Amino acid sequence: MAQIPSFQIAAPQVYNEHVLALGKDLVIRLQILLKLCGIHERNNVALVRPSERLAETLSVFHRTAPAVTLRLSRDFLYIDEVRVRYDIETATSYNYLLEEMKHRRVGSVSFKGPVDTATARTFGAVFAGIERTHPDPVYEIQKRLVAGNCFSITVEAYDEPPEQPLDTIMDERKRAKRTYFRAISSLKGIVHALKEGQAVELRRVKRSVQSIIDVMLREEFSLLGLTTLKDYDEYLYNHCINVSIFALTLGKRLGLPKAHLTNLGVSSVFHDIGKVEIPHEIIDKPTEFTEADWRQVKEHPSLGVKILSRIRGLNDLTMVSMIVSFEHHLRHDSRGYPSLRSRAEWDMHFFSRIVALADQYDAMTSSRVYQRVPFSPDKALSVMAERSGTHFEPALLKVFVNMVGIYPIGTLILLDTNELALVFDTNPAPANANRPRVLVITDTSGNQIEARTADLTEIDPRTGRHKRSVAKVLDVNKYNINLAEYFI
Amino acid sequence: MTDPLKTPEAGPSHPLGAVADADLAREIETAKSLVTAIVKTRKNLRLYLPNNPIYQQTIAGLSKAFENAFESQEAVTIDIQRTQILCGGKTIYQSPDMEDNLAALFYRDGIRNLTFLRGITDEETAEFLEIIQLGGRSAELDDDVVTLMWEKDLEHVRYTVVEEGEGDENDPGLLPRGARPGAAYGNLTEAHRDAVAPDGPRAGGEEIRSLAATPGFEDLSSFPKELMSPLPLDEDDVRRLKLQIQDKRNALLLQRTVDICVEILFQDAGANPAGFEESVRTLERLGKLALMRGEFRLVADLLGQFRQMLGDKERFDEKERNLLRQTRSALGNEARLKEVGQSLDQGIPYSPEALEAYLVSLDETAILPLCDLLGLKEMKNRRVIVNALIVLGRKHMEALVRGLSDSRWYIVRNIIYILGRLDDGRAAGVLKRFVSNSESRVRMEAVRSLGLLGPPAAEGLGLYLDDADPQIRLAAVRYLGATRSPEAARRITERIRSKGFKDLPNEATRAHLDAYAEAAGPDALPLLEELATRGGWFDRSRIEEIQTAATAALGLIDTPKSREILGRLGENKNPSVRSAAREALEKRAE
Repeated sequence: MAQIPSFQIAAPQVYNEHVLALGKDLVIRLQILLKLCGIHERNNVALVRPSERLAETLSVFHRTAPAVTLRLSRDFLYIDEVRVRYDIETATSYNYLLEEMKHRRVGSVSFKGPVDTATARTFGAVFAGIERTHPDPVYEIQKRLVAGNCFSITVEAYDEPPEQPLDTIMDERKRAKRTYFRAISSLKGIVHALKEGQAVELRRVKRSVQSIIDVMLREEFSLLGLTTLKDYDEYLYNHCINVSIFALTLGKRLGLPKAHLTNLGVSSVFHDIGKVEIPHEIIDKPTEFTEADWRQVKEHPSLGVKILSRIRGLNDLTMVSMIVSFEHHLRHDSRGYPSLRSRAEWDMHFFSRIVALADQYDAMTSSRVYQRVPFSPDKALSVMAERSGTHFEPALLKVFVNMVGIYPIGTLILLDTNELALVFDTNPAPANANRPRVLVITDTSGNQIEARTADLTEIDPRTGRHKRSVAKVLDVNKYNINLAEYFI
Repeated sequence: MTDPLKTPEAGPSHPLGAVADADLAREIETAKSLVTAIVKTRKNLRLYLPNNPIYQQTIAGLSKAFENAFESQEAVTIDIQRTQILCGGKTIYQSPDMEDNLAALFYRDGIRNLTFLRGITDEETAEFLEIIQLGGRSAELDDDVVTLMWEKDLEHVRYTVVEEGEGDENDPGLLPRGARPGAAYGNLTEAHRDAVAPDGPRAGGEEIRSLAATPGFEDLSSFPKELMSPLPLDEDDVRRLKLQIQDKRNALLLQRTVDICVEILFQDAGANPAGFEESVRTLERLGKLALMRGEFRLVADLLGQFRQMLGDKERFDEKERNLLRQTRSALGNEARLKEVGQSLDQGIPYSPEALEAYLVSLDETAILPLCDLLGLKEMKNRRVIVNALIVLGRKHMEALVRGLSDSRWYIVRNIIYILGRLDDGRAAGVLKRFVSNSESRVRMEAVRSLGLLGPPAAEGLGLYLDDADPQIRLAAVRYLGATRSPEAARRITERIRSKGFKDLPNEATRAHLDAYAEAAGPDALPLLEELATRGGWFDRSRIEEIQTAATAALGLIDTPKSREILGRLGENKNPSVRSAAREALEKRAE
């Protein structure tokens, strides 16, 4: 067994951070090398630098461990059990490696011992040189590596991993649920303090946000699942926390560092704080808004600024919250509200653009202010897509849509097996975006069953085809489906 | 009978038990030493400032304690209880003083366990100490020990935390209605029936567009085409996103917040008096924050905006304009300027141009407080203050003059420096008052400043000709000559003709005669020629010095007559005179 670095034993989190930092480099450099090997001959000078850089990264790994393995599992890449982060910087390389490894049915690549430039180049050439249609690509790669004296690199075939144990999933969901409702409670406490003129303790919100970030960095779907629940007595608090979750997930996808994520999270929690000064008869009105109602509602961004300015010290956190409160309805083209003296010169803060997306999506999928009948998630995304360039920054909108997925969490679908299911986890790999993980909730006759998970990427070995596929999308609101039953 | 499958416990009687006990005892001792070191360090750090050598030594001492701790083990773990700290079940720290109790500090914020790992760096040690210093002030701050530890993300310090008790996730009040007991929901049967019907509704009644089959997505039947694939990001998208993420303007929070508050101010003007006042007060707070942070351009711009608003009587009524005036004043009052001075002394980074722009936008009430800042430690900071006072002083010289009553000679000197640069002849009348000042550096500066004021300064400079300091006397006569005024000529002539003139040192003699030539111009020729040719029986060398000096002074007057005189002096029997004359003529020829 390979010697495990001492700090991996004593401090797995320390080791993980170390691997995460290098993992990004490894993924990017490996992708560059493989891509160039697909274009150039082995001896081409264009391969020199990429080979050197890959060897460099591997040598850093090898300082702390004699072997490092890049492994594919479902649609994620791992380095020694640590999942490589998928974010804006790694997206292109990540997707490329996923695809190339899957097409060659390579499950893992192990770099055992020092890898010099020549070995790296040989590996790249061998890997890229194997046709996708080769009957046994893994065996062929291994054979050619040995023939090329690349003894320190081995590949293994891809094995579909077993289902994540249900108890692990349940633990994560419990933790997510606890974190979610604690955040709600913190926010309620803050609002109460504001209304009573008491001192506000921002640190409680900070802790809630940091807890959300911790959960989210491990996995997103539990928290995102909780955002599908809308039938609360006082929806404002849940809306604020939902927006925070969406914003943080988006921020994470973009690779924002933790300190920035905290500011983003707190400012998104407070984005609608101005609504506490709008009569609740208007905010909670079950019927359509009148013009006068709208005029009052449209004051909430400015009211939020004032409320936040009363919080005991003015610092970066309160200021960024004031900014997001003011700007989140301005729109990308500045034609939103509040009205500005000079629209042309205003450029929204990056966090405001993120929160604008999260806010619109959550609002559209709730039966609240913007329309009495909530949109289904896919419809909401469709409407948002039409507003690209006007309401929303186009590139950011794309990342948001990709994050939410073709079938957002909470979507009710009919499978081609005639089972009804709820989407509970999206699939990050673009090629499998239409194959999420689902909770099957009825049998083929429509009878409710105890929910069980199913992965739509799963292939039936007898037929070689997918076991289940999405046939239709249904409106979960129309049928009053109790999502709480499945996500709490 | 013992169970062969059961490993005997390593109790005290077991050989392994003794080893385990010894190991545990050593771990406890190590942990105790470390905690003691942390407590001691924490106390010491309160007594000294960060730039004090003892402060640095104290931190170094703790780093050493960590080093010692990790000689024999990879990690040190301690458990936190309400008033005590434990290791291996043994108490290693406790204190009855709840206010200053290290365990209480962590326990209160939910930390129950701390682990320090081998490899902890000096930076991490310093940051950890900073956390426990700040954590003790969490009532004032928006952070506690947990949020600070989370943000610092110290690689070699781990902790476990219990969350605060509130927010029971099973509280029915917090749950959605569907999760409460008795909730009756969902019509899956109907949903299923509708879904499987061949012509049943697709989804919610919204318009569903039919889609062309696309490889990989042929089983998609109800989703808009443009969203069939997760929208792939192209290079341009990635580039734009990176630009947005890295945009430096994201960090300009203060500027943006000020802009927002100004927008709200305009919204509330004439419509919401209470809101207007609140916005003005917020802008004042933001302005103060900007000053403390050295963002002077922001404040200068804000004051400029206030000035414009004050001129807009249509939009802002009298009450609103009063509020604006008050805030404008508050952002340049004595207290603010004192804070600015403290920030500058602490070394905050700033743009000198921006600071100057802010200072010159203030009114005359800022002048005296700014005079106080002329005592700042760093010259570069003083220079900015001086430049600003020159601008302000040109409009409000009287206010500047009031600063001269300061008891600190260096402040007075700096104000005198400024007075010389106001291009205002009235300053001469002020500067002559310092002829009897006990500090020679003040008197010298007065002379220099008078020297910049031209003819109006002649009288004042004349007073310094008898100064006790020979350097000041020299400077006074030189500057006097440079005024080229009749008054200067008259005063210098008096001195030349006085009895004491011949007793002056050579340098002073030359200075007087040069000054005379400069001040009197061609009118000086007769006396200078007389001095250049006058003989005497006594003190020959002195006479020759005067002759030479007079000859050199003649060289400063550029007329045909002076050339003629110099020509004759070029044949003088006194070699020094000859040399001086020829040199003067050569210079003229150049």
